[in-house]
Amino acid sequence: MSKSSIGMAASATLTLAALLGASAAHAGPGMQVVKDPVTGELRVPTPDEAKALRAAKPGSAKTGMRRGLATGAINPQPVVHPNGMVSVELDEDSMAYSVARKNPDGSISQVCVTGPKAAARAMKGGTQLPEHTHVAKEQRYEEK
Amino acid sequence: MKRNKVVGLKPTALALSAAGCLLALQPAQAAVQIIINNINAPGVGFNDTTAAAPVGGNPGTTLGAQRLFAFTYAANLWGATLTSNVPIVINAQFTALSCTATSATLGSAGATRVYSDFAPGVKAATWYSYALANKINGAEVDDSAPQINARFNSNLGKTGCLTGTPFYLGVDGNHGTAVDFVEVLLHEMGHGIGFQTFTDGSTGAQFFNQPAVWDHFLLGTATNKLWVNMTDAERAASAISVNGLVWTGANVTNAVPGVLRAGTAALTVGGAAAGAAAGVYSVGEASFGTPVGDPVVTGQIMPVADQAGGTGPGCDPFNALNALAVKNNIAVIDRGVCGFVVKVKNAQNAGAIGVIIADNQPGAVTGLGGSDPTITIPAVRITQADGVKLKVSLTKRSRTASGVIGTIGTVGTQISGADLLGRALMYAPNPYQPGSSVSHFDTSAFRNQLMEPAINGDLTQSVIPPKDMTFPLLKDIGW
Repeated sequence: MSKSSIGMAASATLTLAALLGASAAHAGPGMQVVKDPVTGELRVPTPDEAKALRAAKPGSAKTGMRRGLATGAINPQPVVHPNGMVSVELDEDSMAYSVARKNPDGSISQVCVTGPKAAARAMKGGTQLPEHTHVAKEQRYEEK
Repeated sequence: MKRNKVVGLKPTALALSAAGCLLALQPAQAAVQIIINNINAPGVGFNDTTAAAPVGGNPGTTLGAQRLFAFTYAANLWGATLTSNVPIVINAQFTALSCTATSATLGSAGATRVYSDFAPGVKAATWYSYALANKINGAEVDDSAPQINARFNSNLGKTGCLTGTPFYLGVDGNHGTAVDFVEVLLHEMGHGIGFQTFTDGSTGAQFFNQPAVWDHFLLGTATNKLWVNMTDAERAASAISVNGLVWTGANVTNAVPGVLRAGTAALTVGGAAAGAAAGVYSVGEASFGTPVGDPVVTGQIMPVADQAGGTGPGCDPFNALNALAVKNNIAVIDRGVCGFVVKVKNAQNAGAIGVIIADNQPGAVTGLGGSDPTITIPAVRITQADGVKLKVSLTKRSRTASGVIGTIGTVGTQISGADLLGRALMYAPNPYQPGSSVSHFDTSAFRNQLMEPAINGDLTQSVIPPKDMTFPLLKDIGW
């Protein structure tokens, strides 16, 4: 996305910011909005969309929707503020996850990854836990 | 291994009985106020009323109180280090997270927002994490939302959730085989306050077409370009360059010589009776005890013999003969039966100045795991083949000397965890490790660093030199 396209996205997401701000006192921080797939405008979800949102966990790959960590907004986009500042609400994809896995010898390996997908893969053993180093230090530890 | 003392950092924890309670932390020496927003419902998480016995400096008598104390303790460590006019608000909870009997998500944390162009003088069109933006701005940049979200697994250790391996909620670092909650939280909070890029290292794509402030300090040595000046393809290649990704910030580079070790850990064997055993041996290092080379230890190498009625090599308090043999010497003990920390502690109690563990199985040398803050001597591990060779040279000996001299120290001058120019290596394995790559120090760093992708057992709750480079890196990006 170019800078100008950030601006375009921001014009839409200013609506999001205004919408959230206006309704925060009534609806609380968990209020949900969706981006219309056809018009691109932000609006309250339809009953079916709301049902899907309720069924989905934050950041769910099943729905492809990402939920902002500050306000719960769906698929947060950049917001350009009047003073020129730009902000983006982050979602679970940017969170650092600490994952532990028990090794066959009973020892525990821990690894830090980013996002729920990487965390799920690390739990299943799909991520190479950094037990072996490539330079000097041996990091695979056994307890006995 | 030494631990930070609790004294002077005693958390100002308050018992919380309801969700949504704000806990303000402001220890005497705090440079930034950290506010923990407990969003657990009554009776769960931080408010869990399950009885618990005080442990490791944590005086809580319920599970919830202990969680809160440990969380507060870790937050205070950051609070005492960082400076900002704006309080850091953390939305925090213990809740059920993904787990199986053999694996678990321990927790997650991260900034809630990023900002660019929020104050004069900041790097233009560049993302800064929320708390850092507030710090640089000197005032809240936006609408006072929590700057960090943090969740931790409330079921850890229960049946079906990394069964039998719970969080250790003590604050003394003596976690044994449990997961040290304080270290996990220190690490994850580090990411939350800005220790990460927001650029996708697997594709090189920037987050909404803007670099993170991180990318202004990250250099690919193959192109000699900073990430901020690279194409997407160049960044993606740099992210899997193994030894080709370095941090250029002055604070980290200045800290490297004092924090990271020059040379590779080794056992050097010599002396009049060494014979064919003389030479330099590769060793596995221990996650407990004094780091190898700090200081270098030299002494007669003496074997520990099996004891009548003993449970295993080195597994019981040493009898008189073994104690005489290892006193002021370096003990050789076979691997097996009991944990490494048991063997090393018994040798230390008998007066040994260092321990060599000889493997009892063939294979490459690996590290010695375990945790015991009371162990203050170095320990290393050698392969089974090297152990056999070494013990042959010890066959003829007196009760107190062997004539075989060992030195547990380092060889060479290469800094572990830095390139030839002394710049800290960042984690860039091939293949790419989503989320681990780029946003951590490299695993070759030694001493071990808080912000390596793996949380090592010998961390010391420190984020500053001479033990750690996390805070220098945060200073580089604006803290």
